[in-house]
Amino acid sequence: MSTGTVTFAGWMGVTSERDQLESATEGAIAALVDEYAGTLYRVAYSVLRNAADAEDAVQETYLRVLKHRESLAEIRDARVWLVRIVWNVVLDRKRRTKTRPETDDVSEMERVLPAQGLTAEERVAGAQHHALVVRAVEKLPAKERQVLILSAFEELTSVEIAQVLGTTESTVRSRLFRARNLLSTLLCHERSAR
Amino acid sequence: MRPDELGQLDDRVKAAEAVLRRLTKVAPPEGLEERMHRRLQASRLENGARNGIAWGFGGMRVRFALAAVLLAVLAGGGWEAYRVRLAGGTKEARQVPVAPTLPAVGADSGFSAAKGMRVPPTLTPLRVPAVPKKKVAGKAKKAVPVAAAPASSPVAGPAQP
Repeated sequence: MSTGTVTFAGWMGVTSERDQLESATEGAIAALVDEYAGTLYRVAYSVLRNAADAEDAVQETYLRVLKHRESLAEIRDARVWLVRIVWNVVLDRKRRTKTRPETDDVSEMERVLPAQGLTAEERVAGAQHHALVVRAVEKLPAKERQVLILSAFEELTSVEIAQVLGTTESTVRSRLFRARNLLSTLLCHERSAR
Repeated sequence: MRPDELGQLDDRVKAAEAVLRRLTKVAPPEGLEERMHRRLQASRLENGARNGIAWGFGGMRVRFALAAVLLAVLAGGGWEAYRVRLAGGTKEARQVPVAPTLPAVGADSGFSAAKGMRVPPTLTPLRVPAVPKKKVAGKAKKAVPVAAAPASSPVAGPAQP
C-alpha cells in the first residue's frame, strides 16, 4: 500500500510541476508580448512599410516563440532574440512579396512625419523626400541595406546588430561604412537627375 | 572630391539616416498587445482542438495514462509470445498429443498391401491325399499310383491322371 501511495503521489507531483511549468511559460510569453510587441512592430514596419503586414509579421514572430517555447528558458537576451526572429520573418515576407511596390506609397510616408507644426505643402514635400530616401535605400545591396536599417534603431548597439544578422561587429561596422558611402552617391545621382 | 562636396554628402546621408530613424519610431497601432494575446490564445486553442483532446486540463495525466496502457499491452503481448515459445521444450509441451504422420505418397505409388503378409508355401507344404486304388479286373496288374508327391518336394501340383 505504502509503495503504491508513494508512486501515485510522485506521479501527481510530476504532473503538477509540468502544469506549473506550462503556465509559467505562458506567462513568460505574455510578458514578452507586453514588453516587446511595439519594438517588433517598429522593426517590421521599417522594412515592410505597411501597417497590416508589420502586424502580421509580429504575430508570426510570437507564434514561432510559442512553437519553440521549450527553449525559452535558455534565452539570455530576449529582446535581441525576438528582433532576430522578426527580422527573419520580415525578410521572408519581403522575398515573397517582392513584386509589390511599397516604397512609392507617399501617403504611407506621411504617417511617419510629425503630426503637428507642418503646413500641407511641407507635409507633401517631406513625404516626397522620405520616398526619395527610401528608394535610394532600396537600391543598396542587401547586406549593406540591412545594416543601415538596423543601425537606425537607437536601442540596438552594433554588437546586437551583429547578433541579429549572425555576423561579427567589425563586419557590421565595415558594411555600415560602405552603405553610407553608397547611399551618399545614390542620393547625389537622384538630385542631379531631378 | 572636394571637402565641401564631402560635407554635402555627409549632410545628405545624415538627412537620410534621420528619415530612417523616423521610420523606426513609428507608433505601433492601438491595442496591438491585446490583439497579440488574443491570437496567441486562439492559436493555443486551435492546437488543442486539432489534437482531438483538450490537453489544457490534466492533459499530461491523460497522456501518461494512455502511454502506460499502450506499454502494458505491448509488454503483455511480448511476454505471451515469449512464454509460448519457452513452453516448447518442457514436459508440458511433450504431453501434447501429436497427430499421426501419414505415409508419404509416391514411394510405392500409393498402393499398400493392407498389412497382408505373403507366406511362402515352403513353410507349409501342401499335402495331397493319396488317390484310392482302382480295382482292376483279373488282378493282372497291380495298381501303381501315378504320382505321389514326394514329401520333400517344394511345389506339388495336383495328381496327374
